[in-house]
Amino acid sequence: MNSPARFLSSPWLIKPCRIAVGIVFLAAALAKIGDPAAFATQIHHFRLAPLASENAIALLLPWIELLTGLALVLGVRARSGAWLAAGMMVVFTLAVVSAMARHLDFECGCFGTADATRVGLTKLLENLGLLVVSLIASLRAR
Amino acid sequence: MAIEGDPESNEHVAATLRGVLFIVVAGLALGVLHNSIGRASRPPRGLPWVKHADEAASLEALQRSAVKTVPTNGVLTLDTSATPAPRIAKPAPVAATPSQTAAPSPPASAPATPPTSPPTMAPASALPVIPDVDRPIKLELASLKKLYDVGAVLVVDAREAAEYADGHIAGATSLPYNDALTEPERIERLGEAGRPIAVYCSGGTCELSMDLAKLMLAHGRKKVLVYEGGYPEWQAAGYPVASGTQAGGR
Repeated sequence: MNSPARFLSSPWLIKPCRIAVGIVFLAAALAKIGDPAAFATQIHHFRLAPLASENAIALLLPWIELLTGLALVLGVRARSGAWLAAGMMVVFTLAVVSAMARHLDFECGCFGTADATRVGLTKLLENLGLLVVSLIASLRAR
Repeated sequence: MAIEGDPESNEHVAATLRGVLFIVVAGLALGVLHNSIGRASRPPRGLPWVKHADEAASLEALQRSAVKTVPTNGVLTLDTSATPAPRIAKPAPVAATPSQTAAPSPPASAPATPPTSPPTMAPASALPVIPDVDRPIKLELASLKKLYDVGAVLVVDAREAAEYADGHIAGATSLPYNDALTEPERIERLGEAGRPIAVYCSGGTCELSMDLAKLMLAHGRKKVLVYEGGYPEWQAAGYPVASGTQAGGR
């Protein structure tokens, strides 16, 4: 194994990445679970999901985020949690790109109503950064 | 990463996928349970599972339900007991000539298109009564035109600034929904002066006008109307339009 691959599969890198992503997902999930109506409104602003499904997404997605975060922080099925986190980050990043391409400009609400970051380059870079960390977290430690 | 023929790696991938499935199913179950308990509690919390489009009242339907008699002159007589809301603010002074009312003088950079036929001034008694309700009220082209002709409504364009610059209802104020969402003080600055506010966007499936109307109501605005036909219908009717970043004369 060459040295970059050895570095990326090091438990000393993967474990902190999993905990960091887990904390982010826990924070995001708890904010959304506390106010599903606000989250449903924020989903609506993206104008990507069918109207009828917006409430169901707002009610269910945060719980998957919560369990993903718990899995990563507690280290129980952590790699599964990391795969899920990476998958969700891909979807979230594509949603931001789509909103930017349509010149939509609104507060992301990625952390419930506490998140006043507008959808734009900053949010895109945040998401890409978290995606990279999630991908590292999803590697198998050796 | 799975390596073909590496049973240990394949087993790891399978175990990880089983874990993914477990988290998703458990998350869905918790979400269903949490909302079901919330919906069953008193007072109920949570959200309905299926979101329906908000059914805003139609101004025309409200007028019909409030009509007591329809005399031959076509002027609606409103049953004020059925519609206790006050009549809209006194219209702006009526212009002396049709050209001043329906063919507004635009700024030099914003040519206005005159209507196809000379408009007739609606008598004040024929103006729709705008109920003071806490939800948006849809209105149709004819009703908007009556209010517009006498300056009894503030028309607001909810589309993006670039679309507004391409063409808008003459005299309309630009307030893109996304701007209002992030800068609600722009709603506070609307100078409607007691008049109802009519919001429009691109017609068809455009939801910006309804979203902006709800946002306005949430920020304390009253008598917010939604013109769903939007700019395309208004333009197709040959009513006054303007282009550029200025509102254009009414």
